[in-house]
Amino acid sequence: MTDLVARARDGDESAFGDLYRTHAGRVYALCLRLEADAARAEELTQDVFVRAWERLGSFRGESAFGTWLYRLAVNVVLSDRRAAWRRARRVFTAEDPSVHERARDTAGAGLALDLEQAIAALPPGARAIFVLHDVEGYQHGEIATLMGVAEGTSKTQLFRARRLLRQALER
Amino acid sequence: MNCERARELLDRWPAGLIPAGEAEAFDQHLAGCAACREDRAAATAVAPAVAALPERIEPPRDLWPDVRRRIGRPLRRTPRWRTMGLAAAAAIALVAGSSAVTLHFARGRPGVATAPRIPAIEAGYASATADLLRALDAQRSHLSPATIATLERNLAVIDAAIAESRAALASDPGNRDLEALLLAGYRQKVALLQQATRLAERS
Repeated sequence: MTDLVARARDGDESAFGDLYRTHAGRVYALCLRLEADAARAEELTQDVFVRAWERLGSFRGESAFGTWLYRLAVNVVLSDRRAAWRRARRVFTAEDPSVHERARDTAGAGLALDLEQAIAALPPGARAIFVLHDVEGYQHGEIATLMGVAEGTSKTQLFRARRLLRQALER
Repeated sequence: MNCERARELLDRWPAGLIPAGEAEAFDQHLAGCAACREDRAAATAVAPAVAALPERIEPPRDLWPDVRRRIGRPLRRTPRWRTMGLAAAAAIALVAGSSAVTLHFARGRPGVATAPRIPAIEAGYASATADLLRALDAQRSHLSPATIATLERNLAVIDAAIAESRAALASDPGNRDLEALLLAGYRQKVALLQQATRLAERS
């Protein structure tokens, strides 16, 4: 366990602030891709760090803090999604202007930008499975457990998502 | 080869570069299967864009002030002796409640995965890792000695983390945090091997 994590675990808010600054970009990227809603991604990113603060006492340091945090982020987003399905569906913003800023300076930026927009336009279930499998590297069995769906559904939705993305990229 | 296996291979090799051992059977299957051809076309069209995605996207504004306000003053962590007392109480509650929980999971709900299926998920990662290692071995000569050394060091660290998580899970079965750490280790291993394979293919 790093000194920063140990201090945050002991209640040092400033150390936790440093951890926030190190990991916020990765957590926000995950939330944004899963939810396709910039405002919601901001709320969820905050939720993830608040939850991390509350649960830091259970972090035993067997893995990197980032690994623990990103897994927590997936759980927070998917839990929120399950709750959201019981409420009215939010409108997602496929034309989120921040999408145009985020990949500007990276290699393959145009391709990545097109894909970000295409991912945002996927149906929610297929989008989550695509992001978890192809972007985050989760296997179908794990996705099925996390999302409460059958493994076959995860596989089917992944191929559906890829077909839809291909159509969007070739437009 | 059937569609299920063809899709498994496309899952592991989204760029469509199927390892030599199964490439011929894969191509033969695709020659006669329009659905799998379409799946391959989709996977190969999307894979380069996925590789180009940035890992980080900074939030459009600084969220830390809001996070800081929500977490309030620094937490006073529960003293260790009290944690142990609570853990003991939780253990008693767990034993008392375990029959009901087991019954709940055993009944399940149609179409919904309820119980954690760690062995099955582990098997999936093990199979993916084995495939990737085979493919990497076949192309090992394309990598520089420095790259191979770095790869092996990283693999050793990840394997040690996986072993540690497995040992901890063996002494604390069903611990969700430990399960998550174990699976995260496998995920990192697969990602590292995929990265190395891509490097070897490009060399």
